[in-house]
Amino acid sequence: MILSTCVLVPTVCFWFDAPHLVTLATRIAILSIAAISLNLLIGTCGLVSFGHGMYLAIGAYSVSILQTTGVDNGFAHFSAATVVAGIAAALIGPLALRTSGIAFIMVTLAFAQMFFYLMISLRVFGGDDGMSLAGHSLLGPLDLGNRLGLFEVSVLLLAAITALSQLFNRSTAGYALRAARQNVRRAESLGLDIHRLRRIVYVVSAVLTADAGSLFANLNSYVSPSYSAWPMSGDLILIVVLGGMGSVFGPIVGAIFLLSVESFAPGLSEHWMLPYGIAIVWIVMTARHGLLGALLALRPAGKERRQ
Amino acid sequence: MTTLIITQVLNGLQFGLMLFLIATGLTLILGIMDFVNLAHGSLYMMGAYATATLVAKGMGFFPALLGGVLATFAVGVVIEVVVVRKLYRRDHLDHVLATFGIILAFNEVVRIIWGPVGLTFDPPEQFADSVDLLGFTYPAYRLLVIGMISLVGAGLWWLVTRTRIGMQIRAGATHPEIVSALGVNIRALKTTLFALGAALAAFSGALIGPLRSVQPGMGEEVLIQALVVIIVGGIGAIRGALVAGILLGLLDTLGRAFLPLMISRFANPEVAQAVGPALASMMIYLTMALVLVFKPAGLLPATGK
Amino acid sequence: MSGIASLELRGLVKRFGGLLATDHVSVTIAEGELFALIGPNGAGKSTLIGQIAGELMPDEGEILIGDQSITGWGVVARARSGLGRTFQIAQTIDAFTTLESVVLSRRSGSLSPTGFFAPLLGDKEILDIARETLNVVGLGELTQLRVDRLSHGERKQLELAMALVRQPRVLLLDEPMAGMSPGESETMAQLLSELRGKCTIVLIEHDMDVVFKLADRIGVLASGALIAIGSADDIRNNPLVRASYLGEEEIT
Repeated sequence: MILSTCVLVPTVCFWFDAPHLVTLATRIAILSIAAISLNLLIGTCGLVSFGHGMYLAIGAYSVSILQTTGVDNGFAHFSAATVVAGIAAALIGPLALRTSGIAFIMVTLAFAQMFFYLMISLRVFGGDDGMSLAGHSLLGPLDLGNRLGLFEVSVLLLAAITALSQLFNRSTAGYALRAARQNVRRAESLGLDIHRLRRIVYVVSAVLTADAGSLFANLNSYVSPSYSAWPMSGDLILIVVLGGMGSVFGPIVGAIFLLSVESFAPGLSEHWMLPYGIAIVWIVMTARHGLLGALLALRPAGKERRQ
Repeated sequence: MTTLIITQVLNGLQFGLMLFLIATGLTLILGIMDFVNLAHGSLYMMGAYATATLVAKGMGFFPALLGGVLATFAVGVVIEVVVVRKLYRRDHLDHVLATFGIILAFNEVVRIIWGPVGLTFDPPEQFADSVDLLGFTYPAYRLLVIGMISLVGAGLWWLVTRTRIGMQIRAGATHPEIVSALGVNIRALKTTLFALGAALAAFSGALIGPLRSVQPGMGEEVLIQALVVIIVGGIGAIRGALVAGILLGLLDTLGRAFLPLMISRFANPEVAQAVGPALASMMIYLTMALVLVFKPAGLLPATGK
Repeated sequence: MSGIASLELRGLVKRFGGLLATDHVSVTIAEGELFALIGPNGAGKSTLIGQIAGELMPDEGEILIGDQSITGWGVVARARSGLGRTFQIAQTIDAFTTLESVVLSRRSGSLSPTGFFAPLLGDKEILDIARETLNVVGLGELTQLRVDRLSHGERKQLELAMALVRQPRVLLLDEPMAGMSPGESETMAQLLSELRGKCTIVLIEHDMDVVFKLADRIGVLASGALIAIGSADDIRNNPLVRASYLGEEEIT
């Protein structure tokens, strides 16, 4: 499946002489990584983080800032993204997790907005103009400036994270967090230290999102404070929810759908955001289990079992 | 220097009262209906645009303001009836997404009708100049804003604590079954409350119009600041929103005005130039972080729940 | 932390405003004893259970499991130290199967990261223990069924299984028969009698026949205070208890 994607997508794209489709596919893969990481919080813990754009931005700025100091080693970029995002999440996570429900959404949104204003006011790092990448990350012999190389790396990472997230959901910790999502009282009376687990998942989710951010910087050759602004965080949530949060593959379906629309709709009408916004409202009001859920619901219903 | 400080304190007060008014509508809807309305900022924007349009059509400032607020009240009723009403029973995630969609749609509607470039409009003539306040001058319009928000705030307080509908609202928050058993139409009450929040946001947006430019997306920044006010004040708490609004308004304004100066005292100007504004822009969020550490439920949490 | 332990309450006091909800309650429940707590509605049973479980903190007094004071501990720490409980209204996890619920309960004690990140259903030994426990409570046939399809009584049985599978040193049972059909109550009573001596149990129950039949000792709570402790016969014949609880007119 992974191999065929790696080979098939670029082949098809070049067949139709449409290299921008490789870019789109890479974009889908990268934001799927971020969305799957976010789904660890939304789907597994029931915690809606409206601030994951910040971690995407941290990962992206890690690449661009290190590039300006002449470091083009990709491993250094990803390590920096991991460490900085890890520290930020270890500070913000416990604070945000002192609240829950609506307040958690509001607090995470506010912190991401704080980072947005921070980057805007730091002229050293381009301020609100953002930064163009001086070069791309070099992973050994592999230059992430190479479209195809970046695509393959992104798909491989996506596959790895999908598999890990699948394993996590089947683990005791995954079950424990889902149990707490449904019934905190029950989970705690089983001796499950839910708060500690949630803090850990928050950091892991942030770090993975930051790594996606480093890839994202390489794809766009450009970094902007707007990665940390609310529309980006909102898009990530939208990807998760549109695809369906119940499944590991949901976010991938969501990313394919959302990013395709975002890439083709502007060509149809300048004012595509209007029907797009209305469509989001409509989908939220009608489809309860996301697009993947809607697709699965089309299958003949399985027999109810009860011995 | 004292004049500068007093001017900035007044500016901070004006901004803080503005935040309070926006946050109040939001926090009432949040506390009473348990609904997260991210599109609250869009209603603020609608108020500004509607008022600007009426002013441009030759209407006087105050009638235009009233018109803008009423128009947004009507928009609020429509949104509540068509979308929001169906989502009360859903989880917060659905609220966030649906109102996210509404924001996108609204911003685009504004771009279609009024174009992507911002509008400006003038304050009422009698308040266009500065006035002399015990030896220093201050723009009369900003004083008007402070006065009008204080009036509306007082009116709101009276409405919630002293009137029948206010009692119903407060009772509906804690005991919806009992209130509806008493024959109060909870549905209509919720619609009214939502539209009232919309009108408050529109009122703020219209007042801010002459001070800043009226443009698509103007509501989002202020929405997030209002969310911070709510977290700091305590969800559902009007008093909390007042205290937190003024606190954060002052912190933000004074921080932007004086932090770079203060830092330049003990760092070289270049560093102060870079760090000052950055730190100032983070002030209200850092305050929020501190409040979360020491009082996670907010400074003055709503009681009775 | 294996085996069973005594539970000791020393002078517990809990106030809500001016109301004394728990009034200097002291009692030692021996290892393996089945201690029933009875009292009219509003006597403070839930408040007392809450303090033992760690959901409420007492204003005064101490709570010990074995020799260890757990007074300031939270729910999680108490559960880890071997306190198991069921709830008045069964608290279950609807989207899990009964087997998943019980296995999660069994594994939730393991602190090691490896144990925690291993697949939940990957350990044959634990699966066998979980199936066995489900068998004991009478759900052996329903291991693959989702919890939201269980009947009310079956949920209570499942809760008991989730508590038992962790081999608790002290077990709190909050009205295990509330809302059960007569048949289900019968099963539960049978289960409880089989548990006697294997576990230290604090039982809150309104069904007096069950309480008088099963309990080693009975404590009577009225207005927050333990007004009597004794065997079934003692309690039956205690005039104070008859007056305040068993529904008889005060005899003066």
